[in-house]
Amino acid sequence: MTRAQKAVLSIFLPVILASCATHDPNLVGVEDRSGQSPGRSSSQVLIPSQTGTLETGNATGNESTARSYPADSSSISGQPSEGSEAIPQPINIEAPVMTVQSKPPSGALLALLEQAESQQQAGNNQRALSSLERAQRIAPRDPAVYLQLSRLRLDMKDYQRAEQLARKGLSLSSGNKQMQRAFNTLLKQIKR
Amino acid sequence: MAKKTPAARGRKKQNKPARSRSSRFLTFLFKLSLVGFVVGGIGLIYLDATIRAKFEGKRWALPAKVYARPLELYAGQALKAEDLRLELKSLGYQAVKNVSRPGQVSVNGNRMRIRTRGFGFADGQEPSRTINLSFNTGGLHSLADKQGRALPVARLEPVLIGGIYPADNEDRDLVKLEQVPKALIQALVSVEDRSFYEHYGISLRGIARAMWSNIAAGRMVQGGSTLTQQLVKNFFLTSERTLWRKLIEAPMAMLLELHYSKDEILQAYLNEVYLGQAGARAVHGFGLASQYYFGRPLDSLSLDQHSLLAALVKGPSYYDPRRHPERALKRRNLVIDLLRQQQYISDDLADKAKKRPLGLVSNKTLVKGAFPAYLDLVKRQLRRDYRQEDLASEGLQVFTNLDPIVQLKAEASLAKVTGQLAKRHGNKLKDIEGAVVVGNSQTGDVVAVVGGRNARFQGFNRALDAIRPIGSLVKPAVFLAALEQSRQYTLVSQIPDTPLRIDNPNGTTWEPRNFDKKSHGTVPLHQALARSYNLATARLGIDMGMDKVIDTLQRLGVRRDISPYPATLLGSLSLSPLEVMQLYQTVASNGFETPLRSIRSVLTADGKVLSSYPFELEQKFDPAIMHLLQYALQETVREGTAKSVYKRFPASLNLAGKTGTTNDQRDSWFAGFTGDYLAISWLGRDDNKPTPLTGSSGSLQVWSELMTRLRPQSYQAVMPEAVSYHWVDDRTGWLTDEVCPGARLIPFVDGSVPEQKRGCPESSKVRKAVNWFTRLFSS
Repeated sequence: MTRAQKAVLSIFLPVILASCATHDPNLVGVEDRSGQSPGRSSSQVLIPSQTGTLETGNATGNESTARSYPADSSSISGQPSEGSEAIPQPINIEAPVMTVQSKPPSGALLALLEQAESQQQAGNNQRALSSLERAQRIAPRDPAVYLQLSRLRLDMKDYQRAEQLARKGLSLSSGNKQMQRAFNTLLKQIKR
Repeated sequence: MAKKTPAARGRKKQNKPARSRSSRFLTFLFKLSLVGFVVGGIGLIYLDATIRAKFEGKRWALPAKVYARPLELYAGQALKAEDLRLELKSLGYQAVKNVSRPGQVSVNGNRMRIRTRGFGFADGQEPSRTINLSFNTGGLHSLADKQGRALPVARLEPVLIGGIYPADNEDRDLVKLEQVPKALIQALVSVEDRSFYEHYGISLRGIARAMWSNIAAGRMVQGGSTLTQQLVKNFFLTSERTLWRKLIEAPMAMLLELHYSKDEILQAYLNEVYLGQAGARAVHGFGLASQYYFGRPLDSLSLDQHSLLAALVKGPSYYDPRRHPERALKRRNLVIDLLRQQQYISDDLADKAKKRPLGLVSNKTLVKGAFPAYLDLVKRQLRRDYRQEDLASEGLQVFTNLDPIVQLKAEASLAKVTGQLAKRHGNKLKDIEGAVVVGNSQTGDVVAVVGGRNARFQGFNRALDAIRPIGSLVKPAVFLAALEQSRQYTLVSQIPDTPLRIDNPNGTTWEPRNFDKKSHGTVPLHQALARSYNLATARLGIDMGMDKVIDTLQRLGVRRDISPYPATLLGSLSLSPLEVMQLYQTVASNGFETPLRSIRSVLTADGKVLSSYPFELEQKFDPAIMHLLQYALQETVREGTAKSVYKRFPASLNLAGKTGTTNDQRDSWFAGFTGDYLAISWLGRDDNKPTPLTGSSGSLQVWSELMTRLRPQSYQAVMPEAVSYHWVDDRTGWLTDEVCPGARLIPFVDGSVPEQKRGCPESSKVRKAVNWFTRLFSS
């Protein structure tokens, strides 16, 4: 990755994330889940420029086919080779703050979250719970899943589980201000 | 008899004058008949009541069915086509050119079309539908319905992996008459009781015909019993062959016919009949027999297969198609001939059917009972929550988290690596054993359990019952206890790795040593963990105090008593691989303890949720502190004792883990996680003798073999708000410039960032290449 690319990155990522913020001021509603996707997909758009060739695993034993991993937008090419290049290059320390998920929210996840939402509205909380656990298995690190799970538990007056789920969701929401706000609001509601 | 007597009496009364000896005899006969009539009548009434009570009240004891997780299908899923094919095979899908019925699949290059069967889950009915799938190198690329519209998500039926059987070991899948194909009933009636729809329970014609065929053939080829009689025999009467039983069989059959329709009798018969033996398990009814012999539901079988099932009724063991294929084939073809003779099928159809092979599935490919170690875990949980008789009789549906794809890969990895090790080390590792447990690193789902090298063997389940010292796997708890004192310890705290002697509470002394028998001077805390230095760990633990370490272990999920002796610091604590997984689960999920789950939910036979085991969690550690520990566990894999793992993985894949080796190398452990999986591997001998293996040369190899097969997702740490990264000089623990030699990017919890900073002269500055720690959050 060249310095120019890095500069572009460091300028654009916050801008894009910020634009998401104005784009979708109240992420709190479940219907607005899609509001996060621009932020994530923006990384999808930008990052490929920094992905070089994917290394392949060194197959050993009887495995005859070399294994390549699915294109991972987060991977940075090149083997670490200490001090091999002469030009000092600062690494943007802010970069880690962007806790952008490596995968965009899948249609499957959105469909299941919506299904759970309508099951909950129809008063069928147990089914909604099952649907959300399906969603969780597909995207176990997506805070949106925990947001909805926590809200459902709150709805069921199960305050303890609601709180733990909100905390877990919050721990997965670094760098996502809206999500953090949503979880903090929720935690206040739970403790009321 | 009862009818005749009154008529006889009438005749006698006309000859009143002749009161002779014979008339006295007749009077006696009359009285006797009267008694007989009454007794017989009472007997019949009694039999009748018995039959009605039993038939109507008859509920088969239905064993609980245990299912694997249903496979979720969605675009972007890292599912290989070959793994989907394996799943479909376990479900008994038929490969066809054009998909027309549920349970069929057609494959065309990297495209696949399947028609699912549909299934009733806890969250609702999954419909039967046609799905078009396409694959690329990353896995499942797209998913569309019949009309080509994108489908967000679909579920396959879950694979049946086992059951919980009643004491008599009878197993069956109940079928309703409507579900049973006509062809099977025709075949059954043709060969067993061709006048079934005409007779009243017994068939004189049937008996006569049977005798005639037996005489003609010179041996027993047909029995004279009707289906009704056979049912009575199985249903109401004990298996002992007594005269009494023979005597009441016919009247009972007739009474049964009197009260119930042919359809009701047939349905009971179809579910009752004994059709084979799977080990200790008795296969009853055509529903289960179809699964047992063909791995598919009854309504998907072909004419020749229906004929084979009908052929088996006469003697499931004599005609066992797996043990005596020629006998079975001959009798199947006899059934087909009978069908033709009785004009159910054309000559052409019969000839074609007779040419087909038996078409059995191999006993080995049957998934039911294939994963004894996992089922063992499920059963232990069920026995805690249910009564054995309910499990064995209520037909409960148990949905588990077993992922057969992962399970098979875990079994293969353990078998392959232990095989290689045994070959390399010869006699020393001849009887090496092992265990693997695999879970979802976030949800706490246990997805695979391997209890030994021979995974089909239902014996000692090492994953649950091998309670062994965990060695260095305990160290993260010691370091975690230290990092929690964030004012006192950071990842760059300088720890002396120098010899020490500790007096035990009982008067003995404890003098630990490093694995390489050396001491390494003063080392930064992160390195002491990554390189698994015993002396530094012991010093750190002693500094902290045993109480803190024990408390940390308990919060991580250890439920056993923990010895307060300092040897605990280096892993004298004994745990099973599953218990180790619980401990690392808390680490992998950022400090939230999530109880491990093998069961998702239990449903009644008709689909009502009886109990669910929802996702539970409790925050036990600050995610910011856990983030620091995860850093050191990633370092272990990148630079420390487990670095050999990257020989097999691209540098872009983030992994984290810890090796463990116990005294004299009796136990070899590795606990590690990726973005999606957490897996624990253990190798050792059942007799607890030393091995030539370390955690790295043994269990780590099993783990990386497994991960190579699983193609895991990269572990992307989410950086907590309270954490920031700084460049630090490893030798001093001071802040430095990124371009200085020895600079390392290290996470700190707010308020613990070192205050001192020392740069380096311009001349010594180097350009840092991208290193793994800059990749941690990547993105």
